[in-house]
Amino acid sequence: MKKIILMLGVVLFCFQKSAYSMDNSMCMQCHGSQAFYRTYPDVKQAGMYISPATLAGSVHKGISCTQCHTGITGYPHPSAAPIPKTAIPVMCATCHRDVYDKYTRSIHWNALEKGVTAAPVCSDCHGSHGILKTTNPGAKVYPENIPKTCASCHDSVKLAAQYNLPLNRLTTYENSFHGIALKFGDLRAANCASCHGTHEILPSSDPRSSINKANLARTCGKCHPNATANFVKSRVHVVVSKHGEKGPYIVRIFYTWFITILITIFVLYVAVDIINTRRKKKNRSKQS
Amino acid sequence: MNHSVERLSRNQRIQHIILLVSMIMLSVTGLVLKFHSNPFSVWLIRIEGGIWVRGLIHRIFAIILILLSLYHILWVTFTDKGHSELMALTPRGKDFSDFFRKLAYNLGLSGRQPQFDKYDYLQKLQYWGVVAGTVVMVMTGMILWFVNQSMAILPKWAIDLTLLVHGWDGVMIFIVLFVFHLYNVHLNPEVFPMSRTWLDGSISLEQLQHEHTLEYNRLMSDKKNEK
Repeated sequence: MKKIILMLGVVLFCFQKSAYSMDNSMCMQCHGSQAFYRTYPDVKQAGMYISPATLAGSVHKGISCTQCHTGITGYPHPSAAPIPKTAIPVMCATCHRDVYDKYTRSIHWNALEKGVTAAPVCSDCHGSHGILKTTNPGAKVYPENIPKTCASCHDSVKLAAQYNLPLNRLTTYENSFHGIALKFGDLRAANCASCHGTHEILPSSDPRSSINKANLARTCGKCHPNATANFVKSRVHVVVSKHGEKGPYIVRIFYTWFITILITIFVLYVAVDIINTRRKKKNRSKQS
Repeated sequence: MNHSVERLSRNQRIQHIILLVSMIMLSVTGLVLKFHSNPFSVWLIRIEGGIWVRGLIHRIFAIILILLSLYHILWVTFTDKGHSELMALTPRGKDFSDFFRKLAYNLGLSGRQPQFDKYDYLQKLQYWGVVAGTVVMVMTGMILWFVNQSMAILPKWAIDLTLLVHGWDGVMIFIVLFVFHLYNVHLNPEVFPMSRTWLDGSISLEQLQHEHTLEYNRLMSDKKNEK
């Protein structure tokens, strides 16, 4: 009896396996071709090619296409429209329910619900067919790549103007000690997500936000246990300019002037020195 | 007859070499952070063994500089030689008038050069520049080294300013030392390619008479008195 159950299990397992791969290979008959395009009414042309190598390298390599693309049950496909953006989080929630619950509390989802189509869903940060682990240096959410990923929207002048987002987030970060350390490969250094969170990002005005004034000491305290309420009383993304942060601006002006004056004096000094040395040499040769 | 006299003792020359090695090492490991987006800095950081090793080297030479400074304080305070050197380096009213007299001479307004003692006003300025620079850099550097302890006392903006001052002051010191000082002792047509005083500690009597006339005159009158 035991043997029969075991055999049955093995057979079922094999069947399941082959069913999956058969399923994907079926999709790949068309989607595995680089020449496969599709014309949508509003989009001119969209590539329908999915690289088998990208899929095989992703964390979802064992999953069948239809597990995410639930609307597809056979061929020909029923719907011609691409998946709407707001449907993507629901799609991922099939497996990632806990993340979905966090994400739907975030400013990003909030904005999407209000019709801000530029707000990101899962795939904007994680990618789609080639999703990689956060520990993989190729991942968009690998610590070293996070600033670039966030900056694709938060460093866009167009988006900033459209949705009243603060600018200079990337440059101020890159010039901070955290930014420099991360750039040169120190993964312990804080990246955007270390302070702002990941799925549950909220604006500083929200009392639940990790960067709300009341929570800042705790957020900094994750790495710097001595960070006090007194410490966090200052601005974080420091814009050094006349209209930005005054202190650093004054320091910079002071030193640039000081150094400029020093160099000017030095150049004059050298010029006078060389002229005098020549004059002396002439005098010496005249005397002799 | 001996044609040169001792200008820097062996002790002073060793202090100077430790100072210059630590300053160079602190500069190359520090300025790369100030100019972190420059490709040359990126290359240097890689040469230095990455961002973490860079910091370690910076701190090691900071300790060497601090130890040297502490030794130097004891040396100028408690040894006869050190104390007399400190006295010779103390700025006096004469230094200011020397500066203007030299300026007048260089501009052709006066036919007479000012006469200097062991250290002229520029040499004094360089010495006190190093002292002031070291004080600022050690103080701000300590705040940044022990940043987790500093955070318990200082607000973030104060630490931000500290970092900025440390960086800019480093740039300034670098310019003064590697441009101004190196000109004086290397590229200056009088000494080119290099004044050897920092290595053998000696200065020729001719040069002494020429550049440090007051010291030369004192030396000569002392010799006369001995006879």
